[in-house]
Amino acid sequence: MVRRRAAALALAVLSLLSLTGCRGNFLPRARDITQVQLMRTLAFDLGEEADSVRVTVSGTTRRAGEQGQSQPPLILTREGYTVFGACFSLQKGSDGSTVDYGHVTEFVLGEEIARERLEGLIDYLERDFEMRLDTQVYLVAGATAEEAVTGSACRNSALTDRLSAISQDQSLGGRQWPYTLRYLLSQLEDNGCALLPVLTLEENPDYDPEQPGEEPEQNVTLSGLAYFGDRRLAGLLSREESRGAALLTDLCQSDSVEITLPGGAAAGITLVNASCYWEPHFDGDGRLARLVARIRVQGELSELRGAVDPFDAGQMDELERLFSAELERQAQAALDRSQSTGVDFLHLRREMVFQCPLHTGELSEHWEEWFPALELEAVVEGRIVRSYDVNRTAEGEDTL
Amino acid sequence: MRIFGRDWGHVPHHAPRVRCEGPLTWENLCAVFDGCADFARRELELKDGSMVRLCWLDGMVRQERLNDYIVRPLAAWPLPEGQSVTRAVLDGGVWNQNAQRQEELNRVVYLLLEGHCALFLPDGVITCWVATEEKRAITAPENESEVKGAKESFVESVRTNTSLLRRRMRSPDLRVERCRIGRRTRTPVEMVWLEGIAGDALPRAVRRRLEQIDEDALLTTAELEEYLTDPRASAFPRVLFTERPDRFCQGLLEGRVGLLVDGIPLGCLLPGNIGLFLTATQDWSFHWAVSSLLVALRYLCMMITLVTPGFYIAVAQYHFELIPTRLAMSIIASKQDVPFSTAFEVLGLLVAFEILQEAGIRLPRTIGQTVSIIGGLVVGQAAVDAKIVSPVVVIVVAVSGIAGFTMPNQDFANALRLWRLILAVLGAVAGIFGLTVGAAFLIAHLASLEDFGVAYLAPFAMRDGADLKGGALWREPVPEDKLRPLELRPKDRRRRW
Repeated sequence: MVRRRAAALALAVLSLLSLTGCRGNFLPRARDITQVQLMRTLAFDLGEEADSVRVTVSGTTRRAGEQGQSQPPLILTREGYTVFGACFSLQKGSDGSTVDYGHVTEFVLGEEIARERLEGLIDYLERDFEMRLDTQVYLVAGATAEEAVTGSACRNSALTDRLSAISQDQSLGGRQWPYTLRYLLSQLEDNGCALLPVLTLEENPDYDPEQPGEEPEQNVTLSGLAYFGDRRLAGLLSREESRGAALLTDLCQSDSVEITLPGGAAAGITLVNASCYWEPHFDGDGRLARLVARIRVQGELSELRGAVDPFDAGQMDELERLFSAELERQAQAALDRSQSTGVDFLHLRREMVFQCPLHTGELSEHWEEWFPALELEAVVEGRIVRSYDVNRTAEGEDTL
Repeated sequence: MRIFGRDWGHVPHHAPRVRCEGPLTWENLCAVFDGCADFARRELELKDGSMVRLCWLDGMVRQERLNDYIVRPLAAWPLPEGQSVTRAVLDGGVWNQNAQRQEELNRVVYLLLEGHCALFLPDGVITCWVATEEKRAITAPENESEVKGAKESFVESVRTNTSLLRRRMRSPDLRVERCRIGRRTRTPVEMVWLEGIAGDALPRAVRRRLEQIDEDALLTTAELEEYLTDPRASAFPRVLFTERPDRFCQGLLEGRVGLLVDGIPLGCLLPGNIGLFLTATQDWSFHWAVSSLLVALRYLCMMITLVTPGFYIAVAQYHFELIPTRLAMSIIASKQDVPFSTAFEVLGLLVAFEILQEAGIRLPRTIGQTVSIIGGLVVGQAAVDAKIVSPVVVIVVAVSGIAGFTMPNQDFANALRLWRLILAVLGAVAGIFGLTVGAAFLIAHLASLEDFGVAYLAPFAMRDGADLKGGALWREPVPEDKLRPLELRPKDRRRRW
């Protein structure tokens, strides 16, 4: 009887609660997954009006039924004085469904906004609960981010598909694509400097203006790295400098190096592994005078053309020497660029603090003074570990 | 009782127990069975010319026994002189080991109902046991079949069932105590336990519960279970019904008490806890590592069958950020032309699944299989093709249903079915929040259950899980499983040295 009364009381209370109108606040609001448009790419540019931001969002291609053709991705663009305002106003512009940013996998920054308003953008990306730290970040050079999104979209692919392919192809040794929002925030937090991959647009030769939508108008390619200093875009590195910077920061991507041997022979070597160790040299006054980057690179002989015998130890040693020299030149170029611009995008100060904790105080205090006069040197030890000769190993010892 | 002005009438209290009053006479006995077509009677003339009246209930007695050992000896028997007829009959006039002199009409009536015949002699009444022993043969278990185990199952006769136990447990410590339940049916119920292993308190408590049962009839398992367990609102079984005598003996050897009911081909073990319902007899037939894997798999399946539909509704309606992006895209693509919401789809398909399951059980086995095939394949595929449900929902409900089939105990699986539906509704109403509230309520509910001093979640819920070792989540090798479960408080804790 007591239980029945308690149950009746609970029912009465529940009924009364439902009359209070609190339900909307008390329980979460349902949105069926079919009623939302999952956005994959967020692109940011400076707006036409002063202090405004132009946000372009793109989903992925949509399947129109089992027999139907795929539809091009939904692309929406809005301007606002804040990123949040622009994103919020996009909700009203979609085709009756809700735009959802919970599955955004790439941020694409335009060059101008990266130079002038990165701070505000970072603040939005840090605060918004839908944004993920694992989202990849790219910079578009020579065009706006909006052009990258719209130019690469067609019925069969969207920018997200292309960027996904790039990140999967370029990751070295099965590692995750390193240039994510988490990486960017942690690098900027250290000294306001960071590296980001640069995308460029190229005309697609297969594009047919009479059949728009079948092929993308432009192709997106990865052209190198951009460096940030003082929490804004400071410049772009050349392709060789980018490879050097990647080697020095242990963020080397899957890449190939072409070596021309004396006598006209040529070799194509694929990078399969790389690691960098910094060797500091302090003078008698405790001043950091010299910094040597010792880089060990492993390569795979992918192609050999001309009169070179892969089983000839002497010729292979010469190939390795040239391979090392080429990468050494690229790494040195990156070091020189960092020193000449005064932007520590290689985070050398942090590296030194980690390696020499006893010098933390001096490094923090005098880094700005020491860095321009620092003697920087890159030494690369290249090794072709996978070649036609199975006896070659990583340590350079013969197995047989 | 008056509800909204309507008087639904007063239902009087239960009638007193059926009892036949009056002196034990032939007329009174015939009056008791007046109108019963199966009440048979016959008059015999003894050699001295005196008349003997014989009565029995047709169908309850074995005709050969009545003819050969009662009627024939009486007809051919020379009555000794100077001795009372009743005394003389008891001393050898009938060839029956259970011949007894009777004084009460009530007792004779109930003996007739159990298969005795009554002899009305000139100076007394004698009853003789001539019951028929017609029963179903002992067959292999249908629902608890096992590859490497015995092929015997309980039958409807309680005495046959006790003999099955005695054949396995040749010990004088096996106690069998009989009582009757049911005002109208007077069903024999036998309480079985192992003296020296089961604690004293447990048989006493079970006996007290049985004595408190005041019921018209005991024809089904629920009529017994719902009197033995408390609270009755819980859907989870607290009593294990098994058709395997070896499983029943295992329970007795752990220190549990068993009940055998005449007319029900199942043994009942109590108290039950969650570990008991998630283990099967075959766990002791396979290698311990394989059995442990199977037990762990059952726990995993329990979680899958409970949570999967609710979780799917919750993530598809509220938290689709939780779904990996590619999976989310696949789900959207598969649901593109389906007109219903995810919650409606899942709940509808769950109900359809339950309907198909019920239809399969009620129909004969061969037709049931056909229904399952038609329901599962044809209707399911047709529903997907017609864009009524999405393939993902079919997969979710099918995975949930199939995971439920791994439960060794049907009662436990039924409870999970009920809670699966509840959690799915909560997931539809409030997403992960609702699902979490439901799961918390379920855990609190299970933790509150206790029968005969044994927690339902034992051994997880006792002594901080210190007694988990020994078969709760995994099975130890038999020589190392030395102790009986502590939660049953056995007198003799050690199982082997």
